[in-house]
Amino acid sequence: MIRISNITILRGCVNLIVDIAHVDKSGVEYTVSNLPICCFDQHSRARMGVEFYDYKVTDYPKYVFYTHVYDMMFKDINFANHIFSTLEKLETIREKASFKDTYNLMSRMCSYRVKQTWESLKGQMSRRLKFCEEEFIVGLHFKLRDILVKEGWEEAEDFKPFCDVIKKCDYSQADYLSNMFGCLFASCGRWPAESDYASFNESCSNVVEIEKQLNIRIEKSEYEIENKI
Amino acid sequence: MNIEELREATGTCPSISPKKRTKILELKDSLEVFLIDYPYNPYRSMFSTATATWGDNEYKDKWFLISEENKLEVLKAVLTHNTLPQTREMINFVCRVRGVPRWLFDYHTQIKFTTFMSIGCRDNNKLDADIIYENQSQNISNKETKIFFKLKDLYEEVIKKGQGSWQSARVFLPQGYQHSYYFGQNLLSMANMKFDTNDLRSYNLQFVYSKIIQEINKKFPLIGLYLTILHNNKDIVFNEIREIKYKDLSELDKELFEKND
Repeated sequence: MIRISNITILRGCVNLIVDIAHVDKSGVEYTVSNLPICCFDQHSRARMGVEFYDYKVTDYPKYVFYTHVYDMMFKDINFANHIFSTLEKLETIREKASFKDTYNLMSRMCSYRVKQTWESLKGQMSRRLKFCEEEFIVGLHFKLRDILVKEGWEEAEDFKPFCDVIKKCDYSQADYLSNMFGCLFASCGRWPAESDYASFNESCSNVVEIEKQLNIRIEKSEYEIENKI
Repeated sequence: MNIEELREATGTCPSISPKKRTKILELKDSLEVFLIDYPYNPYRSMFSTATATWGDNEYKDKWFLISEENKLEVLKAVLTHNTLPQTREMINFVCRVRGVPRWLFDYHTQIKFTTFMSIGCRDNNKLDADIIYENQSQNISNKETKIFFKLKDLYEEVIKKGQGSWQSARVFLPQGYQHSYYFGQNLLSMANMKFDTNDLRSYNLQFVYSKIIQEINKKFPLIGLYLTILHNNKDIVFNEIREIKYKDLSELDKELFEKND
């Protein structure tokens, strides 16, 4: 976390909080906080068996940056200065504005509550535990899985990324429209990729960082174990 | 398959960056709505489903058995809420919306029984994204304009630095950036919407719906008239519908009432 003047910037999932409110045979109710607006936008698209409540964007000048962007500030002091001076000016304008939404950055901190059935959560986990998804939503789902497993919910032990089920990388598959539209990031290496094609040469989420930031252990895939990767 | 060619055509080729540009616009000037898909004949759907509970073992298609004037009487009952609501639920519209701020899109997605697909801000370079102000806002100051330019500079800096992606750069994207999407909604859901003019989000969404109604009205004037209940007194609109005679209908509507395929 870095704080200059009144602006606070959090790094990736380091400060992510997932609180379980209630679990029973039908599903899970949990709250998440210290995430950016863009994570809620992505998460709240889920439709079946899930409801979102109490979405609140912080009124304080608090931001959550991707680890990659956060680390860039420490490599380039001019870039960091540019960020803080811009955010300070933005906050001054936002404070005076009667309607604040226009000035909320996608990285502004927020919190919300989720009520989800086990079946819906299993579907979400199969997608959101894949590292081709962005780090906040991946981190949130790994954290949630970890808590549920530690609390002894057997259902959570079945949660795995879909690539582990089909035993291949489905992110970079050349079928449907992935190469045209969706294949932005390089495959994470959990399973061999059928295509090297990607817009950006790094995986979307960084496994090592997610393990460190959440203080959890992410099991390797069978492919990684067999090939000692 | 030539991937590069497809990506160039769809604007998803990272090697081709849009020109950096930030237009600051007010919603009333930026909003574009197009009705891109609709039922072949919504009047027939509503008539047939409203009369679906009657008939003998043969269960004939009543559309062919009734005069246009009487079809209108059934439709009047549907559009003044004197039939089961499912008749209106059958009618689905798909619209293309461009020129709304992101926060208004997010608010729109919370409406029940709607379906959305929108342009992504992880999947696309937003260097050319406009900033959209809500209606009812005061004049935008130079300071405000400048801050959006500065944020765009930071956005560009992230893309240019090392492994920067559009996803990383969106850290600096304000919720006022221009967002575009397609959405689908049925007539029942649309007609049940309520707007609170004291709430700026709701007020601006109502403005979006005034454009949607205009578009529906161009194609289906009778349904367009019905949907004015979103902005006007329901009883007055219902009275207007009750008073309509077949000869008063627009030629577009009459054509559909007379269609027998």
